Amino acid sequence: MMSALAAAKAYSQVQGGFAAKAMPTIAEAPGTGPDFAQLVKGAMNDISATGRHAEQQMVAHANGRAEMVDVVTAIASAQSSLETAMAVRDQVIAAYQEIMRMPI
Amino acid sequence: MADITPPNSSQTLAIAASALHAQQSRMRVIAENIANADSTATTAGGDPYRRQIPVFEPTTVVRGATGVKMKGVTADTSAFKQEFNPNHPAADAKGYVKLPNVDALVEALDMKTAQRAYDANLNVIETQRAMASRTLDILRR
Repeated sequence: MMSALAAAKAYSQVQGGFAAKAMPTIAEAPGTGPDFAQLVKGAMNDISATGRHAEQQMVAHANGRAEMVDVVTAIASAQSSLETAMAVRDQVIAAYQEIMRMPI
Repeated sequence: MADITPPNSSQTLAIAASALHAQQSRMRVIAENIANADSTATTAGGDPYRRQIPVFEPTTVVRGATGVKMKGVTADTSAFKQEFNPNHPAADAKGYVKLPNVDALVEALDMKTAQRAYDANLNVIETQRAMASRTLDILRR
């Protein structure tokens, strides 16, 4: 079982050491650093872009303009990026809940 | 977005997909050859259908990834078969009809090779997906 701490660590590595720099950044000017909301937004944009591409390919195939290979690969990459986002989201929420449960 | 190198997993997918495309194109050429195995000329003494050979070449499919594509088709220059059939509209002065240089056995083998290559590239995609999925399982605990 993966601990929430490990997840948070992995997450901070993805963000390029966000956790290490987070405190001074927030203290100096809130919202100028690598914002978490911005990160989520970027990831979501990426996912919706691949999803849109998959849908375009599906429509093109239905109209007889796209090869099935293209449709399948587009759907596959959309699926894998969505799965990745879901797995990361689950871990982030788990880490958040872990923090909220912390006795103060 | 366009000038960054995509991750290896996407590159693998793009390369394998390009190979699938190429094999599909090859399959099309084989289908043409088999379909026209009996296509003679319509004029007396004329040339019948000439067997086509697909030519593949490496190509950059996405940044940093070399896939494959069908460059085009070239004509098979081997000699036509001849058949004595004086009543045929394409028969020459001596009564011989030129038949396409398509050999059903060769085409069947080519088709099998294309199928095997297609399967191999499908396996590449499946393995790549399995690897990605197994990696994600780390997060799913």
